[in-house]
Amino acid sequence: MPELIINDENYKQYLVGFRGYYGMWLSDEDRRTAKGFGDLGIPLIPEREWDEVIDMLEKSQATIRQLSLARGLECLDQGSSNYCWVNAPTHCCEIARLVETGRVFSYSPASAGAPIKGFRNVGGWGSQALDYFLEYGLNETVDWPANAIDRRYYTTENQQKKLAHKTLERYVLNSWEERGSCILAGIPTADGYNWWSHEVTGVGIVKGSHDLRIRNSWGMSWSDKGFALLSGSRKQADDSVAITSMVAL
Amino acid sequence: MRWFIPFLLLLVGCAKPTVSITATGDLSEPDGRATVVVSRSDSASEVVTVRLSYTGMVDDDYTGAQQSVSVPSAGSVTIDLVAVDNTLHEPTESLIVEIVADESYAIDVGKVTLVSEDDDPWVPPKPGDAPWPSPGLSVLILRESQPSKPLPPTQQAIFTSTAVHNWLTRNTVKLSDNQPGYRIWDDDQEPTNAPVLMQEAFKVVKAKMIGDVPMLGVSNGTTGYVGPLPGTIEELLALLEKYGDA
Repeated sequence: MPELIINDENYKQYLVGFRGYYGMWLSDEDRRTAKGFGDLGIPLIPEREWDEVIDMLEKSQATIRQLSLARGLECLDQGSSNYCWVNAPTHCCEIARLVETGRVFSYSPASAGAPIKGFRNVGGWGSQALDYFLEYGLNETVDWPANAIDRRYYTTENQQKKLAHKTLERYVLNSWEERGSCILAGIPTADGYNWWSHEVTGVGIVKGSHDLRIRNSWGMSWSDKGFALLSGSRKQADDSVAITSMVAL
Repeated sequence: MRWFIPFLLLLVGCAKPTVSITATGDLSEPDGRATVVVSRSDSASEVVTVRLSYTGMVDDDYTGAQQSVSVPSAGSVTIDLVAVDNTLHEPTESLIVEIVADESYAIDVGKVTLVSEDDDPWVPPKPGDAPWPSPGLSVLILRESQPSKPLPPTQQAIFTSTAVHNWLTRNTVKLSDNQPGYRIWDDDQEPTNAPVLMQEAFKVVKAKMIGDVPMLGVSNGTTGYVGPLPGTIEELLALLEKYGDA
């Protein structure tokens, strides 16, 4: 299936199905105290210079999309859950693991989302997920099925296993240029959109148009293996967070 | 009208000097020179001290930087920067010279960028003894997650390079977890959950890390390399091929 382009004209047809993102959650205090782009140690690339970097990455087969497809990293499928807000950050972890180890890890969004929400199928925010990843980590799907909002999996053994899959930091991004610079440095972003009531993973920038390439959590049959483009004002996220690395494995 | 004249004089008297920065030349090796000029357009009598910041390149790459300059009325000050001709192979870098905001002046043009191109060829290191025991090829890249100087995009691209990951998967030894024998890690953590071989590699590479320069460690059990991570995908693959074929 060709890659969908969601723009200011056609976006309403995609406002169906899920209501998993609760809109702005970061308080002013959180924005002030959280680690920001400046702590990431990557260059803030002015948007006018993006095309040159995109060109280099694509020719080198070094975009997140190219690496994901080459190594068989599939997108997530949140099914009937309202857990987009934890699916997007979970996919960020899967990409981080792929970069660190070359291995495809399959992580369970529900292993973090369900304990956060008291095992209710409700919406939330990406920052909540990242806070949980920092403290408790994630389970692999062999231990906790991806969408199982089920207390049976909340065992001492699984909580122990999670610790091997903690993230090391989380960062709050505040501008489009910060988000683009992150993605061009190979760091995916978990982006929440009020207009969509949805959260997805930012994984690429299109040369020329600077449309944002996302990876959704609606399964591999949606759009082009889960990849789609957000164009125009649709790409302006209402909150955006990122991780860079996880506990060494 | 009589009240207006002193008011106008007061306004003129309170106007801040306006300063600008321009630059010519470049800082490329071997003998690059750049001239940075800080000027002001007003004719107020007092000298203005303008503070400057320099970002992007390390001090070892150039000399002559001044943290502040005193600019006379309607005049300018020149700063001469000279490239250092070192023998390191480095990516093309930029030096940004910026006027630091201050209450005592207004800024018209506040920033200039100078480019530095390297003239040193990349020379693969000579093989040494195996840095750590390895039953086949094993590779560790260590990076500081928050380096003081951002990595250039060509070096950052190594981490997500399909070619690099595919090469490493094909050519490195299978570890105790049956996974390829390579890792790309943040240097700030002890890898206590990792296979023993990679823990050994971590100790060796971490010990040789200088500042927050990203490091590469390669061991094929006979020879190896521990040193700065090459600046591009091509250079890294060339180095890996050398040890992979050994």
